[in-house]
Amino acid sequence: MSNRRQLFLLWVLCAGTAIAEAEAPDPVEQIGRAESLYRSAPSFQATGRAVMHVIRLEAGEETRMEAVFEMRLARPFFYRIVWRDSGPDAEPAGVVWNDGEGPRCYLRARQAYTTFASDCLALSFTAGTSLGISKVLPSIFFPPGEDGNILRKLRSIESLGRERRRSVNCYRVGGTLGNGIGYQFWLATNDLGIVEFENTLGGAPDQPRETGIHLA
Amino acid sequence: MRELGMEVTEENLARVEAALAEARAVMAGVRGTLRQHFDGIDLQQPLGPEDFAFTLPPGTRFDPEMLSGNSPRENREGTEP
Repeated sequence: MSNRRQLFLLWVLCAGTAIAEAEAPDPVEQIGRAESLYRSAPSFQATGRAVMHVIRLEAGEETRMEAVFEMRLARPFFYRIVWRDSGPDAEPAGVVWNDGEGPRCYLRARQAYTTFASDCLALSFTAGTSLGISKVLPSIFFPPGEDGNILRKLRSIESLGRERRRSVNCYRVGGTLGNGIGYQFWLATNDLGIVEFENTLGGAPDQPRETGIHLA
Repeated sequence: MRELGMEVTEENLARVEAALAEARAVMAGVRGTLRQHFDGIDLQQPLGPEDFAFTLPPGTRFDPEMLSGNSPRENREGTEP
């Protein structure tokens, strides 16, 4: 290959990369547009899978937990989130729902259900047992306030390039919450829908977290 | 605390703070990740209240103690407020 052709190909590579980077929206703008997309949508429906992987540092033990889920959300405050331990045909391990009759949750382990004083409490109460399924996406769709929406709380937002996830071309965007928890989102390049996200677990928080509960 | 059915007292506040401190200590000793992916995302489907109903499995009882983490009470079916 001649030197001239090599130089031409190098120019094409550099120019192509520069054009691709220029076309990608600013990561802060990507997060803002993703937040707007969910906030303005009349409903949200999806299936999915959550995987938690934890290592206990002292014991060196590894734990992996997995759940599949079906999620339906709609305004003003309807939701049904079902999670199962394994395949879609398994009995639900838990359900948190509000069909207009008030927030409720069913847990198979207790063979019981209960009611809640608020939707926020129902979705938060089931966050742990559902591997976060009832918390993160619903908090973006139903933002209970400025503090409740993880996309709004994200700081140090940076572009981590592009990746293909679930057969979808995605922007990969990272950021950190004030308590040091790191998040990565894979946002579909066509509409900035959240195809996948990952957050860190564990570690000492950068700042002590207060309960926010004070006696009058 | 009131939503959890706890009276706001110095003693209960101390219990909550202690539980949170314990949880923080546990989390400080672990490292990990939580990952979720979504398939078949639909942000426009018109949905009504009936789309959010859930039929409880037979034998499911109402458990007002679930939030407190206490053992389930017996024979509370039908006592939901």
